[in-house]
Amino acid sequence: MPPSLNQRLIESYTSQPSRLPEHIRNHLPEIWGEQELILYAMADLDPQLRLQEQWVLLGNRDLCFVRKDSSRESLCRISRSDISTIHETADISGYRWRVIGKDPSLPPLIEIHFSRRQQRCLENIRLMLEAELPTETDPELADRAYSDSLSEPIRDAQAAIRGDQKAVIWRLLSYLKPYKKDLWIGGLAAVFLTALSLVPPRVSGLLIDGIEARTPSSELWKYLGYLAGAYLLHTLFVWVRLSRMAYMGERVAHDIRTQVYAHLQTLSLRFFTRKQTGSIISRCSSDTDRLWDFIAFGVIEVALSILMLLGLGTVLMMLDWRLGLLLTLPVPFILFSFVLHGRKMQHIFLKAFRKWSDLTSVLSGTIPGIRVVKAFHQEERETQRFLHCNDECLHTFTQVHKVWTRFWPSLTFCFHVITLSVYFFALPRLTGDTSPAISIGTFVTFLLYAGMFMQPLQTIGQMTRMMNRAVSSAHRIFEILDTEPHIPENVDQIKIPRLEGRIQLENVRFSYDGVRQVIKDISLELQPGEMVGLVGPSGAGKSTLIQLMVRFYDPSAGRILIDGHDLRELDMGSYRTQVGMVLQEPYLFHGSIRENIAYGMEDAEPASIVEAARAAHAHEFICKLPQAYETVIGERGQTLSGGERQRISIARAILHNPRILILDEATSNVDTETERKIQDALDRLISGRTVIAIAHRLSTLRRADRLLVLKDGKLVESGTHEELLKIDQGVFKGLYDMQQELHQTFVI
Amino acid sequence: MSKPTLLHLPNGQLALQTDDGPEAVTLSPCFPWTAPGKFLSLRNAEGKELCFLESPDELDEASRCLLNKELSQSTATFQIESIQSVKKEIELRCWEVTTSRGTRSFQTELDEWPRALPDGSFLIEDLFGDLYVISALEKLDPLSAKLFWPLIG
Repeated sequence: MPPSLNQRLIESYTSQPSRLPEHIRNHLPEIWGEQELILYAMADLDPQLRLQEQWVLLGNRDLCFVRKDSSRESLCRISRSDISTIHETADISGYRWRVIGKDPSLPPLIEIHFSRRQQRCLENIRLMLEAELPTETDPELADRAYSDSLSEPIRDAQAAIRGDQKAVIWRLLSYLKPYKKDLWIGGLAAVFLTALSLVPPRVSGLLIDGIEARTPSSELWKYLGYLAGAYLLHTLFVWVRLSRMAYMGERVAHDIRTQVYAHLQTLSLRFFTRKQTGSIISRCSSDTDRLWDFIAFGVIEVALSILMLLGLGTVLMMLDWRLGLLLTLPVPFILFSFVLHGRKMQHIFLKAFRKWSDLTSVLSGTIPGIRVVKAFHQEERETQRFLHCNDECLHTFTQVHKVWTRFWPSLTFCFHVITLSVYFFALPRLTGDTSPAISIGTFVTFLLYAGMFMQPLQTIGQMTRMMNRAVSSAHRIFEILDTEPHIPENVDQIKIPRLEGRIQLENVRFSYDGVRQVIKDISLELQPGEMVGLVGPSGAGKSTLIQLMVRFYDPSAGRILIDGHDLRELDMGSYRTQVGMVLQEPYLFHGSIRENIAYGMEDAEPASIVEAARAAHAHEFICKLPQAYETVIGERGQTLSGGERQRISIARAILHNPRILILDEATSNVDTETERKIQDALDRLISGRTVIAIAHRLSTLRRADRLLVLKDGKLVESGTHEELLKIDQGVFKGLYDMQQELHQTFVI
Repeated sequence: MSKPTLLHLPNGQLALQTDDGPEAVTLSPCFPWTAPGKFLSLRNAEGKELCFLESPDELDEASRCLLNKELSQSTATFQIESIQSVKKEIELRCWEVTTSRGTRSFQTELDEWPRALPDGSFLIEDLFGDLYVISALEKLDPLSAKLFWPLIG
């Protein structure tokens, strides 16, 4: 079976086997008899913390440790029934496991060490052992779990497609298919252009020879006519080439941008949480722009430069092979000097980039935090810190300039030497001292051609850098395009025109990373029109549960039913239009208040918008703004206060009239007066809908019909406010008492 | 006040002697780079701090011995002895190095730069969170120094 992408990543980057070695796999029946291999991992450190290869194998009955020494393989087999627990110690750069037997007063059954690289794989084994999860018998699970766990950080950091450079270039060029005509016209224009640029030097030479030979004027005017024609055609082809290629490049970049953005909309939240916002934005903007440059000019420029060099070389050799050799022989050396110079510049540029990064980190740290800087009177210190980084930058960039300002004059000097050599060898032939003689016209032609050598050499010298930049951008873009939506859509989806709002969770489990269970076997039912409060300490899984209910993620196990239908079978478009969310940090788009309230309902009547705003207690403050509902609010609504932004988001939810309403800490970031107003607005919003509300201030959930208390991903308590308070040592009572105590302290 | 006492449980875990008997603890060095071996928080399985040591000198000889042994384990990193190559790939910087534990290849993100430590050495964190310490530039062999030079501030 060919290795999967993940296995290839492991082989390329970690220099450890991408799967359990065959010889161990083949010996498994001898090692532990007839049992399935469920999971395996590698413990890569020995007790002295030296690198080693020890395999940890989990079977139906046994946990096995197989060490691959240079000379022998040692084995330790422990029955799973003899293991009581595994003590894991997280060190600064690694982990230790002590496998504890049934009698904790005895030494551990085995102690192993491993680096952080192996942690996910081993965590899978520990979870499987401790949770006694049902053991799947999928024969590929062990390989998949191992390769997924080991390759995930690499995949997250790098483009998920590690194709070779050629494949990426071909894929990129496939975007030119719809523009074949432009490509042909532009390409041919470029070829003619190159050929035409060889004409003027030759004609000039003939003209000079003609003058010297006292050729009739009519003949000379003919040469001038050729020159004029060549220049005219040259201009025409320049225009055709530039315009065709520039338009085509722009259209290709436009196509890629559209495709990338449309694909982004289909991707699940998991993708967006894995990648930084800035990185995604740059893929849609600067990366596509870089591709435009490459497609429009890069490909053709390089091809033409090679063509030009070949053309020049051929013409020169045909004119006079002796002088031709003088000009063409140094070409490989000059190209090599470009490569060396490129490497040196890359090395020193990396240093400059490093220094630049220090400088920008000072800026990005202090500008957003300028209030803190001023409050702690650290202006002078920050100025000195910046000054230091700035000086360092200056020093490094001086080195950069020193390198290139030495290289280019040296190269120009080389060309001068070559030109002088041409003179040196040509002069005796021009004066007739040596043979074969050479005409002045041919000599001038030579000099003009010599002047044309520099540009194509420069372009070819920069080819590697340009290709690398384009491939890197293409890679980053293709990563998005090749990312499959984590939430697959079924073909036959059920559309429910009007939800009742019944929500059922059946043995729902969920893990973000496939290892740590965030939701552990939760079952519950919400009746239509019921208001339920989700309560629990931070990290209990409240927000995750909500994200599962709106299908931002699918459960790892179990299912969620909406009005009796599996959520995975519902049409997401029709479902989500009937679900409203009011979040702790309401997100407002750059645009008018009207557009923000009517987001997703562009045809909403002004009267409905005003009505929704009134219900959300937003109408009053909106009318006080200079352009009322048409007032444009800045990026993310920063021109409004937190409470105002929240009330606009509530108005948005009211206008959408959702059947299921989710309130995630909707009032936690506002003052008491604003909270009262928002609470009042929410009270109007919740009537007649199924409502799931998360709130840290437990008093705000008094209106809830039922409270569900989560802790460590489990549903631990359920009941009304009063019922839960009666549970002695209960989680809810503990949280409530703590808040009361805090409140008392404030009152005092 | 009596000195805190450390001991090993039969299962090999480090433990602190409390009024209720020995309780397993893990060591959390507060300043692993600027004050190594000092300001140590000893926490139980629930993550609650049972003892805070400003210095191991607060312990008796036997406990200090146990503590130092545990410290050497818990703060161990890959010590880079030489660098064979540092290559830039898409979004990644790929390192081939020889460490005190053997040869190793690892990757860092392109904007993840080596961090200078107070003793002049540098700390590198790879994609998995493994830590690598490399000596100051002048202590490295010429090739390693050449490869490492552009990456430090």
